[in-house]
Amino acid sequence: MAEPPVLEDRIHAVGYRGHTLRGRPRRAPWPMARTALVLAWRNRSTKFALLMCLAVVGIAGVALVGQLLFQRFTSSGGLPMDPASVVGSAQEVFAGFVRAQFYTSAIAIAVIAGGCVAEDRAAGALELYFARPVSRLDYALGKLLGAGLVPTATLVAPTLLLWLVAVGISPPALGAQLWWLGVPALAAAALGAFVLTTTLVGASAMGQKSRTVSVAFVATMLVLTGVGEGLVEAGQSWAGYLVPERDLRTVVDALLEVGRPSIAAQLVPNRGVLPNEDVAASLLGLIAFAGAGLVALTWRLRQDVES
Amino acid sequence: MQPMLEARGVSKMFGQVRALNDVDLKVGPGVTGLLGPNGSGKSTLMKLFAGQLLPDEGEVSLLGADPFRQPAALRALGLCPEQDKFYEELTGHTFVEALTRLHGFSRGEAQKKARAAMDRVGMGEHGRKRLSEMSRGMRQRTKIAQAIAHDPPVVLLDEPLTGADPVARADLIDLVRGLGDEGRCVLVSSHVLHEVEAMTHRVVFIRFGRVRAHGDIFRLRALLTDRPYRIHVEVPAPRALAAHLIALDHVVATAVIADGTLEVTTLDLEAAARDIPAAAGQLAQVVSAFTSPDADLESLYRYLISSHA
Amino acid sequence: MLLSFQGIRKQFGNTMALADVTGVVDGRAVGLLGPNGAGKTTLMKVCLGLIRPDAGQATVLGVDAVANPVAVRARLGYAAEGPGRLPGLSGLESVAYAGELCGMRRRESLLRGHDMLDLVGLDESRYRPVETYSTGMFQRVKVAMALVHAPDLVLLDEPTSGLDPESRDELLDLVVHLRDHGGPAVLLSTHLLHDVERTCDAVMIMQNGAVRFAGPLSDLRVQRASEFDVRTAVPAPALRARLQALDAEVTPGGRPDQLRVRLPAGAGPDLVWQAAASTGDAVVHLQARAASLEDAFLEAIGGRPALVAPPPSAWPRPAEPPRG
Repeated sequence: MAEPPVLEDRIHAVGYRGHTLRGRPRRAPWPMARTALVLAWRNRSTKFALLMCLAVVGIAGVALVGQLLFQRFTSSGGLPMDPASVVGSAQEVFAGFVRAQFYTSAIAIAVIAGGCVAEDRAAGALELYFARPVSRLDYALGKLLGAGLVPTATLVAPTLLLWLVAVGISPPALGAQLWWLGVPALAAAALGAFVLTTTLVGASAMGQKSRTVSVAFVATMLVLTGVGEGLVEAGQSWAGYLVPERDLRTVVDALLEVGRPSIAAQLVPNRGVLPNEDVAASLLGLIAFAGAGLVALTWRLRQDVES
Repeated sequence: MQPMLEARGVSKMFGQVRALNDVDLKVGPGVTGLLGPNGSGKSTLMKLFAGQLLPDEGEVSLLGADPFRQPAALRALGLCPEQDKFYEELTGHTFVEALTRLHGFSRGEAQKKARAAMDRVGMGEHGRKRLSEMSRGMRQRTKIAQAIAHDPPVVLLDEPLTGADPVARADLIDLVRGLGDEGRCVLVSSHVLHEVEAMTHRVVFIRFGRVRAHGDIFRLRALLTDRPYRIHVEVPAPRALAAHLIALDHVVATAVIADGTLEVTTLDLEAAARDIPAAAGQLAQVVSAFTSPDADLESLYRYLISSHA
Repeated sequence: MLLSFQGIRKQFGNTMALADVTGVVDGRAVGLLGPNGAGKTTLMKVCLGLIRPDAGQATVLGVDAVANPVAVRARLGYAAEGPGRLPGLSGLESVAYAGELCGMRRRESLLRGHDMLDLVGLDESRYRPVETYSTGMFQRVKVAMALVHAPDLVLLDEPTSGLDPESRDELLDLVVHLRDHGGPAVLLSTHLLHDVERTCDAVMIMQNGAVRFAGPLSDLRVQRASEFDVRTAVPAPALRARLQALDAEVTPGGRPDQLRVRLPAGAGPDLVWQAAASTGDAVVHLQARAASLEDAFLEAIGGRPALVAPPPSAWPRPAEPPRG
């Protein structure tokens, strides 16, 4: 039998060699989003912003768990349990959480992703993308995905978590009723995340410096809220639609009350601030905010990149 | 003769970063090339001569005066800095005029000198353009105009050709040569070695903040005795010539590298330049080409920068 | 065919960046030359489909670059001039990211990124953030980013600008390596004619937004048998006079120690050797003069205007106070 060839004599060339893609080419948005987040994670301010969001989640969690456990133990002690009141207060916690976390998420996304387009423009990195097989749509999707992962992590994921916890620890009798709270709560959180992402990326497309964009974005949110709420108090109810968070709150309340009209209103008649009157107008307001962001992004890309 | 620029034991640090370490240098009239890798201390040396920095140790002198403590001495100095940000809103003419007036000339005088300098660098027609509208080549020309407008005997040019297009480069090389021919002391740093060769045959090498070598390119190359010259000689019958040449003292080796081309390895280029055509003549051959691929500044630079000898 | 342009026009506001670019060029390494503002960078961006021309057709590697920008870019690599970078990423991450943007998988692009950084000669500093890099290091990263997806053509816009001689040398060697060892074709824009002479086999010369010459380098450089480049150890005015006395036509060369000698009819190079022997000058370089790229370039763009003669200098007399 012939010896198998062992270590034939050969010198391998070094230097340039070609390359063929393994498999189908991947689309650019995912690496873009991942890289943006990896870069953001290297910033201390990112960790700080996320810590802040975590604190709000913690507070909401304590409130929710506390209430449910209180109900559970007091009911087993013989006191009558009112299912409607339990569901109503859980609903209140969710609504309050989405409302508060909307603002902390606004700060977080502004800090983490404020420079997503602005910095590319300032550093001349747009060419870096568009000299490669990346279309304007790919770029926009990548940026929206990267920025969108921030409120997904701070707003949508905790909502999901809180809901699971609520369903898990509630007395069996209540489980089924709380179960149905999840869908509208998640839908509301997702809607909030979407509005935050699109407006921020739009703002970033208008700016040149990441810090300016962040500050301007948060400041605009706060000013809109302040002025809007002020005008509503002064009787100008139309101004409420100018406050994105107020629009969101209206929609959240409407969603949370699907199928059980105004439980919250019955149980908690003296809520501090009232939502907008018209759900459709509020939804329209949110769509307008998101649309403005997308239009800004599209306009900027059409300005800066010819094809 | 008294040197026009002199550094004696000059050291300069920026925090922990060493820029220059114990530099002794004397520069006289004519063009001198200042060479070295990025970060070797070229710009620092220029700034020291221009009185913009104070050496940590040692002293520099500009025509015998201390440029840092006696700012009056700077009247004799023109500086074309590497940096490229100026009063972007000014036109070329106003920019040069304003800087010339700082040397103490009256408005009319400065205007005349600025115009003459702009003409000389080939910016006469484009002088009305704002700096922000100029191409890199025009900016470099304008920068040089502002350095020479007040007719200084000493001119420091830090990377004057960077970004300039081929036409501007050829013009500016001629200009620098002209400045040297007028007897000015011109110290010019550049990364493009064959352009330095076109300006001057005298160079200073800086590496790791120290002076690595200075002098005439040709003679410096000859000092590298461990690097014999390779010469390519084209003759009709190279083997016959090789037999003759190997008998010469300075010839180390001969090799036929192509049909009709002989490579001669020699220790002395000048002697070879005389002996080889003569030997060929004795054999009734004519040397139709004589080139030495490793005798130029590029080879010298590579040898000096890559070795420690 | 590498590049083919037909009547490309592009206007930015009032400036005509590309007036009428028409030309065809093929080769492994093509030099793109022209004065500032000739439209070199704009033309590169047209090739990439980054700029849509107002009129005309650009065919890159046989693909219509105006109609299919994304398809063309998949086969092109581009190293832009200037400092465009993603702050925070290391050199290696930058290159791998560039690969991922071109459709590579993460690990695939990291391995390929290491290969390319080895090729361009960036050592362990590849793990450091790019903003700590020197010009030369960053230039290498840009070239590696342009090569990572194995394109068929790389566009290098002024890659040697600001590099020191060593880095420039290595970069030009890399272009030669790519040209000779099956790498992508190279389109090299530069102001240094020397770089083109060393690396390219074809050139395209532009001026005022139009092509003045496109074709192989050899077409530009015609040998002139009776003309010689002569260099001496030290500048040799005596040799010059002697050659002129022997009826040779002598003009100063581009360097102080250089002469351009046109021999009289019937004479050979031995005339130079004899003249040198009689004056005692050492002629260390003698070569039949090929029309240099510089001459060809200047001819293509219509020569350079003569500089104004220097005004009478007040120096070496010490400058008088202005009022005199």
